[in-house]
Amino acid sequence: MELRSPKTTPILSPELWNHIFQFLSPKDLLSIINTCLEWSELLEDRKKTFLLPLIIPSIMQHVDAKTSFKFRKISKSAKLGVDETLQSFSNSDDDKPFGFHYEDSSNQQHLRKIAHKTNSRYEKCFKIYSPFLTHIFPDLTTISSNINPFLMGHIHYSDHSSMEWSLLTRNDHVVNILPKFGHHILSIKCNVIENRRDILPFSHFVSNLQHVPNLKRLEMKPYRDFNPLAYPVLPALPTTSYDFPPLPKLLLLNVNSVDGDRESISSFVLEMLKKYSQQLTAFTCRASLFTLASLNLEEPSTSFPNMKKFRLLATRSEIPAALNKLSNVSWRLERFHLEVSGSLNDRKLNPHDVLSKINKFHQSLVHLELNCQLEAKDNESEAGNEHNYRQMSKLKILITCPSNLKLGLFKRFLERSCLTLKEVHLLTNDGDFMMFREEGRWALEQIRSVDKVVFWYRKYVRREQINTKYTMRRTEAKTSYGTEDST
Amino acid sequence: MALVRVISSDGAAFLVSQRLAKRSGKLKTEIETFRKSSDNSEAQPEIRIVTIRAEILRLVLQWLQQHQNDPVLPANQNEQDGRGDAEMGQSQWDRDFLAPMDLGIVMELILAANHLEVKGLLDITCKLVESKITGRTVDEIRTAFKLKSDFKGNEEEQTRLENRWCVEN
Repeated sequence: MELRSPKTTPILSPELWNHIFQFLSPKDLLSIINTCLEWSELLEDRKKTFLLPLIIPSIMQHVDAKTSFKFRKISKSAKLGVDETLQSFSNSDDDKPFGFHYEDSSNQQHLRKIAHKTNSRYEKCFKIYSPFLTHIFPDLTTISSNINPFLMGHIHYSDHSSMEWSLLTRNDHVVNILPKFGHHILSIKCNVIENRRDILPFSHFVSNLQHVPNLKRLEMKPYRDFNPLAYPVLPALPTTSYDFPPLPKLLLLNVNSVDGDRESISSFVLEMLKKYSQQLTAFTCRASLFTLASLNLEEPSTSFPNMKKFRLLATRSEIPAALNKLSNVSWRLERFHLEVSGSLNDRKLNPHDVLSKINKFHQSLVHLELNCQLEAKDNESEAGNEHNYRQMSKLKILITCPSNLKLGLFKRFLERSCLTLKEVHLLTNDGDFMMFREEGRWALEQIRSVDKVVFWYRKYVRREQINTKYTMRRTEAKTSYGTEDST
Repeated sequence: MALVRVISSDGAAFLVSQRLAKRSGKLKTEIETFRKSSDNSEAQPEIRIVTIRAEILRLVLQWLQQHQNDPVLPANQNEQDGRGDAEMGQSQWDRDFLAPMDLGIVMELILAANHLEVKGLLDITCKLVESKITGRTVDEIRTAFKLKSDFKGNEEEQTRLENRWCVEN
């Protein structure tokens, strides 16, 4: 609620106003003190109390982890402020495929470090969980399940060095923890052992999902037994129907390392999609899985009716089939990311093939990432080949390789059909953006709505890789350029 | 000199130069948006800030005025630990500016600096609050923020255990 009534005269007695104010949240109280002087004075005494949770996200960027956690002991609202701030930073990793993942302010990095440090302590807890837990909680059975050992709301397991354990598929590691504390978990990144011998790990995974009823994001990676005698022959799993629990809050599923041709895990993921595809708003997968005939997008149970964000990873040879399948969906996609792997030459795609499919989402798409190189076929004369694309009426952000801006067809698509575009982000290799300044200028001059063109590249500072940007801006109404370089 | 009218939530109008206003990330964006939507390039932009009252807005503008010739602080001032280093930007003027302020006003300034994207001011105000917390006991912090513990039953003990799990072991 935001109160905007600067001319209101409080006609109730101060006592009555104070009585009303005590039911309001800190945000509402902030609106109250900004409304008029009388109300601001009425709340003068309580100001420090209710402003504290609001300033915690800023303060946490300036203090160490120990002080941040000290806030949790002060009051309930301060505790909530700390927990929400930490969760927002620890979970943002999972949103990376759909977020503005290149950008990281220094203060965010600091917070993320606190989040990661704390997360790594959880991992440590699980690896050596018996002695550690016994030390912290001498008797687990007496501890209230309200105690939250997952302050970040997130757990991350990706230990490839150990064959011994994996969360959700190894019962002995979770038997005491998940049933009791799983409701605190909002986000999981984990391995599922892709076992060639039996389906037991999958059954464990499914039965343990019931302990995380508030799960919002799930990232699964297959964990493979690379015994050369066993690889690559994998017997098909016996047809089993798993009893997936309802996870009403699950919105994001990331299975970007599951290959469609690995039958044991891909058939498991497809089973899972039958249960959850109706509710998912974000999905990341490989083209080899996406193009499987058994993933029927016209079937109601696997049609992803609420899909908003879709990220597809593919090799060049998989692209035609994947794009073809995409043309049959009826999603209202807001974000689409296409990432083509392989050597540079292998990544080249025909622009019309790609653009005509993307054009399907012309009414809803806001954010488009084409991390691939487009190239017209020799027999398609660039100048003579005109296509009528529909207006991408909501598109604001484009992320792509700078060389694509050399291509006539792609340029015409941007000039004529992307009239709402605000930002163009160009992914360059180590600092070679200077080669593409002309393309940046072209975007600012020819696409009227574009405010800025950002070149992204990686820089190493003290052996740490930092994503760095170089920004070209339109300054005022004139066609001159301001530049800035920030890390 | 191009000017801009910045209006507080309670209706007070401040006339400042656009050059000064643009040192706030938020005001800069607002001015550019106004320019684009306005046909008359000479028109004076008017920006209403509904979340900041006059007393606080005046302080932010006063701080910007004093620091209008400072180099713009890079986002990543101290790469080693990733933390903004406020002390580098804190002058005697800043200390005198903050000295008479009540903690409640400083807290409102933090929210205003955050909203208006004025990094330097955000850094020094956060640093000031930090100095009131670091090295203090929980009870002392409660006194500073006029807070009473509202934990019930064993909730305080639960919080202590959770913290111990995370940082205090």
